[in-house]
Amino acid sequence: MYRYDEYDRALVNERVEEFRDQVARRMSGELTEDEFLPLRLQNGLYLQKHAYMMRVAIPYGALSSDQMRGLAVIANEFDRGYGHFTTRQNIQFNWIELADTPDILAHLASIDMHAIQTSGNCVRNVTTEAYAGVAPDEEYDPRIFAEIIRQWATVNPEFLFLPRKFKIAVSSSKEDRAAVRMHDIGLYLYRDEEEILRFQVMVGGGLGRTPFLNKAVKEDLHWSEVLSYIEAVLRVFNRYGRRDNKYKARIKILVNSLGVDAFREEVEAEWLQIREGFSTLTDDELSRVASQFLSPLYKTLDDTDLRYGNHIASNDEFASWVSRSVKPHKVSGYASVAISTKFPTNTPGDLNAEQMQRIADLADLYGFGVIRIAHEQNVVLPDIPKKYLFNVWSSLCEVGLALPNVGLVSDMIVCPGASYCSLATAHSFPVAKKVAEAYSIEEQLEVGDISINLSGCINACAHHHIGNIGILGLNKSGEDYYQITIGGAQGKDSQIGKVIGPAVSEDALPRVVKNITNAYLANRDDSETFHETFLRIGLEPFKLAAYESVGA
Amino acid sequence: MKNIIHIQSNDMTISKADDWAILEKDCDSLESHQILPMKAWLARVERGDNTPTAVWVDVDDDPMELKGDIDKLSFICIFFADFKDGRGYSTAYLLRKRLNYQGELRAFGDVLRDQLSLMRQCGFDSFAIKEGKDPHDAAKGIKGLSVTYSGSVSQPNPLYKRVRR
Ligand code: HEM
Ligand code: SF4
Repeated sequence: MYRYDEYDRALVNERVEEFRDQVARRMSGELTEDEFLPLRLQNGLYLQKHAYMMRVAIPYGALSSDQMRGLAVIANEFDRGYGHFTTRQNIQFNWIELADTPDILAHLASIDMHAIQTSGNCVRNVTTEAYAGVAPDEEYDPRIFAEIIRQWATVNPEFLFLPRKFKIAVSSSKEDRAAVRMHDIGLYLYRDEEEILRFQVMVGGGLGRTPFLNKAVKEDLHWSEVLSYIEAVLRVFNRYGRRDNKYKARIKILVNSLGVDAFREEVEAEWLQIREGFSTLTDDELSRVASQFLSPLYKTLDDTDLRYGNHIASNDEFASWVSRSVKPHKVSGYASVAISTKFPTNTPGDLNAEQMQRIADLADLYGFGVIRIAHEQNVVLPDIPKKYLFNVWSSLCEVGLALPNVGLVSDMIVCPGASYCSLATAHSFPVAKKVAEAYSIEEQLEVGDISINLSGCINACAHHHIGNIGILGLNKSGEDYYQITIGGAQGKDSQIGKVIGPAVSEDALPRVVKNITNAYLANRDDSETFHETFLRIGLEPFKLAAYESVGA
Repeated sequence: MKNIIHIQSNDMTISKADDWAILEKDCDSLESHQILPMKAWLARVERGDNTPTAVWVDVDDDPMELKGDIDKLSFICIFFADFKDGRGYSTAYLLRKRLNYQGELRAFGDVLRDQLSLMRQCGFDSFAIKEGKDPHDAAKGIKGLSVTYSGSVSQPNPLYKRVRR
């Protein structure tokens, strides 16, 4: 886990005081709202429907137990007792007073956290996957480079007023669990034949109204050149990205209007001027940062634990939770635990202060005090000895967090929609709940792993384009309607889903989703996933089935 | 120009106005202390006309066109039409680092207190603060944060090459 040194700490502390002064100047009228807007956005503060919303950065989704407790304190003291975890591994507080924000930021700084660049047209939180450092299929811990890039991008003076927001994700495992392909820059880190670390660099991903997966611009970037290459991409974007139209300002539009080859040439030309310059990473810096991410001191444990086996054999509820929530670990005798924050007992991504505290306690008791936020809006305890899994489960049961639905229909990714968001065109939480409730747990298990993503408007905060079933909330003459896409996928073979037909009403939605999963069950071969069946049989059978007994 | 903050080897001077004046886009006259649009200036150079030593660069001008003639200039102003448009930062970077421009580099237009430290790091050493704002108040924005992670024009090395962490 990265620990701040005196420099990190000085930076966040000074930044808090700078913002305190800016808030005071805004409140006295010295700063206009137009002048204040980018300043507050770059400190994580949005103005929403009911109040200010503050988005706190959780770099690459990693939290210590003390930091989680600190978030619980903020939830209690400054919000209404809960927070919302996002697909980009951050947390949002929805009921914030402007005057409180400097104190909230000061509180964050005291636990080595901040809200810098969680919003605004700048480089945002660098994300990776929740199982970084513990996944058996990992080549190199992606958090190390995520942290190096985070530092480079933080208050980097040239790139704070880009044409539009800029998101970077890194993955270094066989399976990409970080939705790398929909980021402005996606980085796959691998070892070449000589064991040298290299990046495959992809640029120009993004969802919203014109969804694009990013495109490969560099196949074999040496690790020491990753910052200079990102700098080249950003300089090209800063100079040539469109600024006349907010909806055409993301780098995806630049890449696709120039064509990826011309774009690559621009970047290479810029890069040749700066590579081998000041931004070149050194072995020393890599090992300094890497040393912060050393594994905890694992015990030598047997891979099978008798007590754990007995609990599984004798307790069905525990066994079904284990089958969904317990994930493989690279160290024998350990497992990672995914904690579902979803329906029916929770609201996707929301945790209340008591739940946050409980998770922090469990991390301290059994799991080296470390916690991760998954981009599926769930929480992960990455390092739990198998012999304690039953204790963890029992404790989670007490706070309503032991749902056995990770990866299933009801583990939907859902944005806040009209509940909080001023941009929403439809509700998302209440409808997502109806969809989840249309399935018994047995039915969900029958369907198996599937991703369903529901966004409350075209901005696609819930990544509906890359959900196996994507749901987009629209407004048709004052009523909420939902457009459905299928065939989306994330991971190494990401795909943007296709619209199946006319949007359906809120009441019809659960039936339609169920028709689609039924069509999958009727057509799947053996152990095919939803996406594999889709690839084999195409859109048509799903289209035909979807509107059965609902009318469009 | 009005509301000027100028920094020279760490000394800051603030003045209500100086003698310089920005010439509008299609102007191409030649009185002293006039700052020509970059394109007009380049056209004069092309014609072999007597050239002044000051130009201003618009948001969508390519500063790399000054390559080859940069030594003729001792004063360059970069226009910020809107402080939220960050192209001027990269323009400044290119002038300083790519063309190795050593003269005075001034930001003008929508130039505000809360961006001055960023501009300074990108190589600006002079600022014409937006009209209606107090340059003495704006000058408080020069200092900025004491810690910077990345390198910049004013501090080429990233933090980890500057200090032992
Ligand atoms: C409630 C306040 C929120 C507002 C006002 C907001 C606004 C937006 C907007 C305008 C975009 C589109 C940007 C573009 O395409 O240029 C966007 C994209 C995105 N948002 Fe949000 N959002 C909010 C909450 C969230 C939440 C809760 C999540 C996570 C669940 C989230 C995750 C994302 C992601 C991942 C994208 C990127 C999609 C892409 O690359 O196009 N946002 N957001
Ligand atoms: S998708 Fe739309 S409704 Fe949902 S959070 Fe994003 S902007 Fe708001």
